[in-house]
Amino acid sequence: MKENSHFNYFCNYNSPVVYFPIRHDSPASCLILSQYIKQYQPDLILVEFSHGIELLLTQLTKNTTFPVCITLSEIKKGNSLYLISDYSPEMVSIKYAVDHKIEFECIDVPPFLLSTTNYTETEENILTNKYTQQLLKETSCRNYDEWWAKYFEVGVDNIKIEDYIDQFYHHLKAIRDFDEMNQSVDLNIIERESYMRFRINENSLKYKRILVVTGGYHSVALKDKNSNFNIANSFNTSYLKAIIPASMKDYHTIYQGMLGMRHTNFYYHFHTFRNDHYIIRMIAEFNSQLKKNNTLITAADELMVYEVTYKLAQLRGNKYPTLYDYIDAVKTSFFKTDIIMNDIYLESLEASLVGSKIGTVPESYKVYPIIEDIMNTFKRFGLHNLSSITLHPTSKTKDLEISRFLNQLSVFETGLAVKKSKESVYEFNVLIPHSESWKLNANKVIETSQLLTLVNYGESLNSGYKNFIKFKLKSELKQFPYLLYNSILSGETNVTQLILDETAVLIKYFATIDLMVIINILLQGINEKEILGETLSSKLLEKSFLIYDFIVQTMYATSNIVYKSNTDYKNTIHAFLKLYKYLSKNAYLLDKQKLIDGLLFILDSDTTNNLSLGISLGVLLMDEYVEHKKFVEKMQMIRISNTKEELYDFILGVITVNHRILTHNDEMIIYINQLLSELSDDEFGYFAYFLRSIIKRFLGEEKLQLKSRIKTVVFGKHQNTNYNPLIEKEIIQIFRTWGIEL
Amino acid sequence: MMLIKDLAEVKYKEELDALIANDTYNKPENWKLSPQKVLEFICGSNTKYQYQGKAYEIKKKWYGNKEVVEAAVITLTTDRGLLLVGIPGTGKTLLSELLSAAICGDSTNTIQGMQGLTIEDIKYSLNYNMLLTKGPSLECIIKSPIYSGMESGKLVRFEELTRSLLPIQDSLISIMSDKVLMVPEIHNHLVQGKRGFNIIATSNTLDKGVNEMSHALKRRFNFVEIPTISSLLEEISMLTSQVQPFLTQNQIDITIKEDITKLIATIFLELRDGKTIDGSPIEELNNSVSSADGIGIMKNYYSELYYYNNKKESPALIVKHIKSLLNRFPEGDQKAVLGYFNTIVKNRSKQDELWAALYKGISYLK
Repeated sequence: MKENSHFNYFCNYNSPVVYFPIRHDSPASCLILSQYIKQYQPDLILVEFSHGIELLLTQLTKNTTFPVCITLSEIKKGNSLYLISDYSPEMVSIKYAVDHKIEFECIDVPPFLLSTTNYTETEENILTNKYTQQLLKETSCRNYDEWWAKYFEVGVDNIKIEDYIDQFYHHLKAIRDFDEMNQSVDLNIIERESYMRFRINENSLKYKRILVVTGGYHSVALKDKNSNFNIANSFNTSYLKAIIPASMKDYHTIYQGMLGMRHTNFYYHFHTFRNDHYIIRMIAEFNSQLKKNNTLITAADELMVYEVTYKLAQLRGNKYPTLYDYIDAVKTSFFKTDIIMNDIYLESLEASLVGSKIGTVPESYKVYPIIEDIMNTFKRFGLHNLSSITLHPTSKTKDLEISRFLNQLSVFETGLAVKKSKESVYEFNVLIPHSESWKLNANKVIETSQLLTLVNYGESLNSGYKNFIKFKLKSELKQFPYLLYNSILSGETNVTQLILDETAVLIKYFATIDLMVIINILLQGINEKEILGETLSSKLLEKSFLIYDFIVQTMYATSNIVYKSNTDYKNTIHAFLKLYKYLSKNAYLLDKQKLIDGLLFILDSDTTNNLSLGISLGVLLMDEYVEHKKFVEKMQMIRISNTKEELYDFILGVITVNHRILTHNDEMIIYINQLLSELSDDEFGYFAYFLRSIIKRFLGEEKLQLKSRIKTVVFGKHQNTNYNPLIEKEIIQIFRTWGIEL
Repeated sequence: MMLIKDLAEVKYKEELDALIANDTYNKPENWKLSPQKVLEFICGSNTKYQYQGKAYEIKKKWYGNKEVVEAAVITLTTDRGLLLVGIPGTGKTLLSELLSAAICGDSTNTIQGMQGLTIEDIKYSLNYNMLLTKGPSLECIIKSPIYSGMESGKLVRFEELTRSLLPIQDSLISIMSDKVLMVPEIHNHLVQGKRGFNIIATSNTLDKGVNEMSHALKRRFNFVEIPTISSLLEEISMLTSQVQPFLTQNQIDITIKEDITKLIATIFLELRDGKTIDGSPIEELNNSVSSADGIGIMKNYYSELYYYNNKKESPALIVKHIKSLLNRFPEGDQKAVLGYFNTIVKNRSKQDELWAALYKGISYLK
């Protein structure tokens, strides 16, 4: 390797800090990275994940933890923040760190600093970059994906690590330089990188061999943003003909067991089989999608796709077929109708390759329930032959355990156990003895597979699941429950806080996708302790059940809110009310105040938007679980750190569900008046119109100092841009369902 | 005397010869060029090929997505026929002609689909006079293009396949499946298709679309959709490459202007896409205006300049020819184009002399 090569500059094996560029989700990046790590032997790995979630990621690196992916619900649909799977390069490096017992740290901005509304995918920059456009033209590729596939993904076969990195940097630098020159690097990216550099610098004082693994677009900027790059020779076609070497024997093991998602699915197949099978596999998967539309696909069609795919690859000079060769073959050989129909088929193909959105698993993949677990537990409790049971959880220890199990099942909505009736009354801090009746349906296990989100990607239901159970019982404790139980055992008082802290993080990342995987991780720990149960006093055990119930129920319900808050205003209100109702009635084992604290904590941790936060707080205020001053504090905080619209959302949320705040809280009135005085005409309508309705109904107009102003604006011509009669109608309707006419 | 239009294999003979001489790739049996070189012949190449002491540049002959040509060429290496599908004027016929010229050196082995097409036109007919005088012999067979194609291992072009009646179309099924054609009248003579035989059919999606085809026949074809050109640069290149040679060939001594080409390309691209170059929406037409329409208008415009206008540029005349095109469109589309001129063209005319000159022709549209 030449001394002045990019490899030498960024990734020299002797450097104390090296910057390994990856393309997210690329199996080829994984392969090269896994080879590079072995050569470099770092003592610290820094990865582009949000700082602070290291503990969680450690859990996910375990062989028996099922691959999951993380999305933030706030990000616009279709974007994934991080993909965590076996073939995610980030995960490869974290797994290496865990396996070799070296440190790793996440260096992207922590969740609470990440402005998700402004979040920018770096790949978007790459796609629109002028250099990329020129590069695509030069190489006759339709888009960046195809280019990457041709030269880096299926081309990974015969290239040395050094050349791969060198050539990748060659293009990355050109792309980045173009953006820097045109000042088109998103501010959000600059901020994130500045944070990453800060973390790298911090660590460089403590460690001697640091491997920084980030998306290539960042890698260029992290080491030296201002290094000079000569764009004149940037189209080095010699590389484009270079072919990448094959030492991928271990590749199969690295990327086992995971299907789905984006082009990665296709190249996963490629890297796994490295022969005709990956095309055959894709054809089979695509066919299964098409058959859902009752499309007739014959063996002759399949053979034709196969033949055309390979011949196209040959014509285009690809050593192996790329996704584009395959898709072109499908288009040519399958589609025999009008163009509009073709689009439908292509969507099917996309679904087969990608899933409904990036970061989700396609529906076509089998989802397995925890059959054995449920069955065994049914047997252990002697429930498997029963069709119903009545329990007395607060008076009988065993019933408590069964109740916990059945409640848990009902949270999963499996239909295996349906609560028929419950006799319990909850008073503050007093548990009234109660009984509950359950309808049991143990035989329904198989039919409920679609409701559980624990996904087993293995070939066989039994082997995959058995391994999981085996591990669950015998392997080491997962770190999080371990900490939890240590805290319980040592009698630390902040145990709830610990759980809530973790839960908030978990919810933030997992609410929309793999909530149940996390629940299983928790469950795993709890089961471990059940095995070691002798060491726990029954009281402590009971407490753990309470905490567990709390987490499961809260997470489940909160996820509903988080999930829906961005899409449907009405659902947000209903979801919260549902949660509130659910917890009031069902969380009979919980300390009510802890529940409220927990909810507040979660709601406060930016998991929801401000509207739903307002609604949630409003509900809590209504029953006076939260002091008004806390509400005002929060309001002031939002005012400082958020936009006006967000503040309106928050206040609107509160008032919508809790009009009494206007009569009981003078501070609030003063505050609202102050706020109204600052409103411009343009931004007045959205907030003021609702406010006016509510105030008029519950407060009387005389209390408002700005009565005339409101009249002018609100009763005027509705010229303000923010006024939305549909939302108004919806709010009125919701109030009406509660028996309140506005 | 000059011909109105040269055959592709004649017009590009030197290029084809140079490519054949420099072709080192594997060729399917009876193909004159390898798939790689066919692609180069159609899409152009930066390489200059030496042949008989001269260097030949391979010009781009077909404007559109390269992957479409790739899919078409590869289909012809399989045992399925190729059906080029698309709206009128996207270059299906041109592509079919170029493919035939490059692959088998003969673009004339063609059947034109139409209502009156008979099974004899597809298979063979007999010279009854000869049959009566000499008795049944192979000489009596009047071969169809398909018969000849099978016999000699050549491509057959079937233009506008879906214009012919369904039973006639379906007579292709057995030919394409078994690659066999039987002549019962002449001692059950059997013609077996030689390697290299295949069919390139075209079908226009606006009239009788592919849905008129039987499923059985569809199965014998791979479909390649020819999209319209969506890039301004491509549209300009295409217009230039098509119009200037036409003018030269027809001894119309005039050089097309780049800005006029860009003007016409812009109008056609915008009307086709239903939005302006900078993304503002405009009223969409029910009928598509194709690249071929653009070529036609440009040819008419320059012919008019040459014969009637003393070669003096007069962009307003373009509108006159656009009007001739619109006459075959429904009233709604004509209004939409008038709307386009009254808004987009008018606005541009305030800042740009060329657009102002064009706008002067708006009276032709009223």
